[in-house]
Amino acid sequence: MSIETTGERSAPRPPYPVITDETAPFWDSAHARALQLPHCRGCGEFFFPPAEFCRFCWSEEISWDQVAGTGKIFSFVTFQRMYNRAFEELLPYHVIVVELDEGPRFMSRLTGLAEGEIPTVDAAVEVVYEDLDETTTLPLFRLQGAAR
Amino acid sequence: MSLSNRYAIAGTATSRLGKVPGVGAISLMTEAMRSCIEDAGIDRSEVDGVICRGPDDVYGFHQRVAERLGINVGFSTTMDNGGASQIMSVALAAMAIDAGLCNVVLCGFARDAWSRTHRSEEARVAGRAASVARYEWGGEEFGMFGAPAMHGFGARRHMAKYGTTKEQFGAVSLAFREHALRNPNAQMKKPLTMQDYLDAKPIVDPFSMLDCSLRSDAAGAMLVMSAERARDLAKTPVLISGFGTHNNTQGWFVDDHMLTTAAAPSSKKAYAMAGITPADVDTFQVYDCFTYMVIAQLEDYGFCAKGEGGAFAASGALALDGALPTNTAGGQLSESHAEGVLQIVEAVRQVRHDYGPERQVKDANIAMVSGHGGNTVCHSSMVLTRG
Ligand SMILES: [Zn+2]
Repeated sequence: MSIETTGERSAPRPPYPVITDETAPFWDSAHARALQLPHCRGCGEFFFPPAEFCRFCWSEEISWDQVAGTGKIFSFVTFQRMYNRAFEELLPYHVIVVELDEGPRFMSRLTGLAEGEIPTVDAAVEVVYEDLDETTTLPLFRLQGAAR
Repeated sequence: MSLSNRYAIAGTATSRLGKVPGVGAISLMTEAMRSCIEDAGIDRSEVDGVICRGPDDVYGFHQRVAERLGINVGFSTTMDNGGASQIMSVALAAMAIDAGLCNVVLCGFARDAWSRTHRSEEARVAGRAASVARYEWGGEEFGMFGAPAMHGFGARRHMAKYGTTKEQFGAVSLAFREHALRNPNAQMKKPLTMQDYLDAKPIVDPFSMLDCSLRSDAAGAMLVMSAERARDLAKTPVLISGFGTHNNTQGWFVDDHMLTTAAAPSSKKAYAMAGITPADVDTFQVYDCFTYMVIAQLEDYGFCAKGEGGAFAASGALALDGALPTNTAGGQLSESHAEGVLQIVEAVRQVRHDYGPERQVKDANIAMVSGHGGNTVCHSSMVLTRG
């Protein structure tokens, strides 16, 4: 991927979510601080990634519904080397595969750890929201019970 | 009628390996293919098939390659399954010959990954992330980059579920380095100690530099034809005894694909087609993109039980004189990374008994080869037997 820079800023702009007609509801719901995922009316499952029909039962009756925002760490890695200058000052940071209580798994970043605190597989997490700008918000996760 | 043992690899070769500045992937491919034809001892006019893979941004790679070789062919295509492609190229060659589409097929893979990422510091940083197009759910907005992190999720989970340790990952890295020191063409030439391994530059925990395969300019090629025709040539033919493939296409995050990988069903098919069991395998040439994937595959290929791959690697089994001599040329961790094609080349050389005693696996008659890739979830397996 290319390293983008904006105008005279020396710090590069972080990669933004790829927002398309299909992915927009996810990012819009994060921005509204009420994360939604596609929810199948046919079989009742939430699923990810979003698609025009349910990958379990192929029902096309899909609605975007809010999830509880709680789950656990399915796995995680800790970035120690810089891959992109926009994340340099976050190093070391933890990218997680989160498993929501509703079932779907996807990637996010762990935030709000105390100095030296190390995540563990299966640790309980909850969603928190971080604005990239006035229209775009990332759903991040923190350990449940972490101080605000 | 089963294809088992009816087709053979009649020749094999690599290009120059490691750091080959000024030479692109197409040229590396043709370099390996010319040497491969020479190794088999035939004339290029006999070649009527090309199945290969190159960098993802070269459209119609097979045509570009055949153009430079100066041949028209009855069958050719480019593979698009990452590191699982190379074994499938050989399998597809046998199937295409069996279908009557062609008779003598060049298979291969080439990349110029070292040269591409060492032109500048910016290229070096950019090259760490995937070289392919951005995927909308690839996680870059969260700071997720590159194949080491994706495989690292599996490594972390294996450590959490089975108690696998950093030292056990290190045993894989050290075993393959030891083999590379015996291989004059290997990219890595320095001996390694466990302390060196544990002190290595961190990348994406649980992986450091020495858990990750190399960036290489490298190509490898194989020539496939009927076993009958191969028996008329000077070199010992290497029979394609079995192959299998399986793709966990629902993804790396689904079910427990990170722990029991697509290698499990893939290898089962290859064992069944060849009519052998894991105990019959004399040498394993495994797709070692990351140390963890070796441990997962030792389990998934049935060389040890699930969860015991770390202990198996640490037992010394992977050494040239161990219970399962593995990646005897150094693997992608220490020889060169060419998306698994060098594993096929080494398997052929071992079962042909090409080497002197310093590199030859004693009585190597059956090799198992693995290939892994394609968004982390695609796998292929092949049993090669001395003909
Ligand atoms: Zn459904």
